[in-house]
Amino acid sequence: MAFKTPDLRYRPNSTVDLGGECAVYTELYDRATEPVVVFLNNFYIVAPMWRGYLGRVIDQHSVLLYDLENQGGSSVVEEPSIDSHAETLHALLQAIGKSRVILVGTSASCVIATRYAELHPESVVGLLLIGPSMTPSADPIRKATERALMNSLRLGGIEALWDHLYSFVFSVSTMNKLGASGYLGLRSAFMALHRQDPMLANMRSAAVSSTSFHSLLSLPIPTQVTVGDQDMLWQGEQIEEARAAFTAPGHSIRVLEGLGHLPYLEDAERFQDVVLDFVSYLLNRENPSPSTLGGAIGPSTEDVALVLAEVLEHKIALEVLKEKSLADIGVESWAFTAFLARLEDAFHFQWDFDAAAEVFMSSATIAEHIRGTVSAAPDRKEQA
Amino acid sequence: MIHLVTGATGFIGSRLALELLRLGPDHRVIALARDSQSLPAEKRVLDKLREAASKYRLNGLGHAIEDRIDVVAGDFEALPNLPVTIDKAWHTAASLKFLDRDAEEIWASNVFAVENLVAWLEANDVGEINHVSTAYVAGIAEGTIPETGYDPTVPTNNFYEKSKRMGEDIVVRSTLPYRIMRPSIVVGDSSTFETMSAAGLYGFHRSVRMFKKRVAAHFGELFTNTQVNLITNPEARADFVTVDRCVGGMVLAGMGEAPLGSITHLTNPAAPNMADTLSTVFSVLGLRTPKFVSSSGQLSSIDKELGEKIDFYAPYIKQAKEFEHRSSVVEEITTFPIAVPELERLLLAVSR
Repeated sequence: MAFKTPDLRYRPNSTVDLGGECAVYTELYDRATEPVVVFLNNFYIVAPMWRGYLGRVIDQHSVLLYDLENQGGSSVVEEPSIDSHAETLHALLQAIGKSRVILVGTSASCVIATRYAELHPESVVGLLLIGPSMTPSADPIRKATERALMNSLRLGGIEALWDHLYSFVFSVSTMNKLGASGYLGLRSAFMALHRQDPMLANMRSAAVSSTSFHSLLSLPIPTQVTVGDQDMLWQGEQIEEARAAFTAPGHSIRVLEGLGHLPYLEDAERFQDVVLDFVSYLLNRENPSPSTLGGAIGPSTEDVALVLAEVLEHKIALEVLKEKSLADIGVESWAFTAFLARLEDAFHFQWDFDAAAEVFMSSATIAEHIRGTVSAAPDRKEQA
Repeated sequence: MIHLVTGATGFIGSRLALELLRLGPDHRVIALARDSQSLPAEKRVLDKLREAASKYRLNGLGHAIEDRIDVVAGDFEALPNLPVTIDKAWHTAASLKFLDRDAEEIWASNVFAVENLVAWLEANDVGEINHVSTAYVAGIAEGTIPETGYDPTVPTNNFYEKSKRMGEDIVVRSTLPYRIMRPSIVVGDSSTFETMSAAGLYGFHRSVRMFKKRVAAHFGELFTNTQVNLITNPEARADFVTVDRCVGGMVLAGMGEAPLGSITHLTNPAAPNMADTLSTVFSVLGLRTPKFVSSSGQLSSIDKELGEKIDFYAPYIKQAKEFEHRSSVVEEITTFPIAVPELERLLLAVSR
């Protein structure tokens, strides 16, 4: 099947004036719900492009898409920084009257998302970082890649940058699917929408930023890193290192098999599953539903299974996690430990050292045990 | 007085024919025109003149078009016998194409046609020729452009200019008494703002409209949110002269204000600058004012695409020229201040 170029049509007169000479192209899909899920463009994609990958997300949640300064329909600034990009987002959220967000970064915009969370932690409910450019220990690769991309742009213009990006951001299977027509269609759009100087300024802003993977570890905000196993920046031990480092409650790693650096472009459905799962997790964590924690009921089997799904990176169907025993599911010891810690975090209780082994038979038995624990806790009401 | 007008179905020629009629009942016009596939020359000419008279609201012509216009069918390759002795010939017919790929057509219209016409006029003892050239035979020259023969050491910008230079050479070398008229970029009427032209400003407007459509197909309303970037000199003057003022100056010069053997600029010292022109064209089409930038690094491929469209106009907007006017009377007639409101009216007239 021929590759279809994404719908890149801009909406009329959709910039939000943020004062000075800053005006930001914005698409807000407002479901009158918060938090708003904000998709942060990396430097190579523009806001309208997201629409094609977010149908289900937009149906269920308030979503904000916007162009960074120096790209697409937004204004140009001579020397942006990651901080200035973060502050532009803050000003935009204030201008549209939104205060609580889930930030979805991709590649270089994960740096902006992380920095925003550092600067405005009170407004960030969660961070979902898709193929972040910052890795646990592959920073030399990141730096070299950034330098090479900037040189391609500087020396060969937008066309050369496209060729450079194309050579490493897609998985082999996606390249095969794209074929020559997909390659040419995307290149044409890329060259039409991007300008060399503003693009270079944005790339420089990321290259000089001190925000790193390790910045995430001290963030008191639930954070999920999702990477395609074909992502060239996340090869070798990077995923394992990230998993080992992500011990804080609410921090997780999710790996998408067969996908590269741009999972949304390669498999929009799986990408949306990732987003929807993460948002559900955050909402559940933030507001345990009455059916789970409220009254005398506490978490349901499904709530517990959802936490297990997160730990197991959604590799096993939720129905299986609800119905089968942990032994049948084959939960490894590292995952089991992480699962128990996540349950504490999600349902605001602490495991008792005396918990019987049969408690851990299945999601159902665990849920039952937690319900008993929670209902007995003196501060349950406040927590609920 | 009997006038021969070539190009009477054209923008300048149609207005000229009407203005010659307005000189009085003793002025008659013989229009040389081709039969088209569907219409005989006479109908083509008379229909066009009636349309022009209506658009420009030239009242008081009465039945002059029917009574004092004679159409002679023919073309420059097979010129007909003239029914009467001609006092003045006005040669306005020309090709406005400019690309090298159209060289053959441009050459045929702007060089060979002049050669044939001049030989024919000489053979028919025509009294004099008023030859309509272009102010842009000046080529890439900047600064004050004198009302003298062009400087052959200065290169031209395109094939059109080169062909118009050749046309002037033929006229100057002929045995005919001559005047050379050099209009700049001719736009609609200064009262009604209507036009019979699809070239110049209108061609540019059309190019931007097509550009907008092409962009919309892929990128929707991108340019209602942000600006197109263009490399141009926003202060350069786009020398638009209104058709009535241009032809008014032409008739005045051709009827004796300019001596034989002279060259007359029909240009407008009060024309708008490029920034106003571009912003008006864009705003009439619902687009943001372009941003004027200085380096190609600030251009996307769609910025470049539009820039290439504008490149044809580069000679007229990038090379700052001030045209000399020896006759203050002609200058007074051709001068008409064109700012944003006038540009809007000119463009809205064509949009309708």
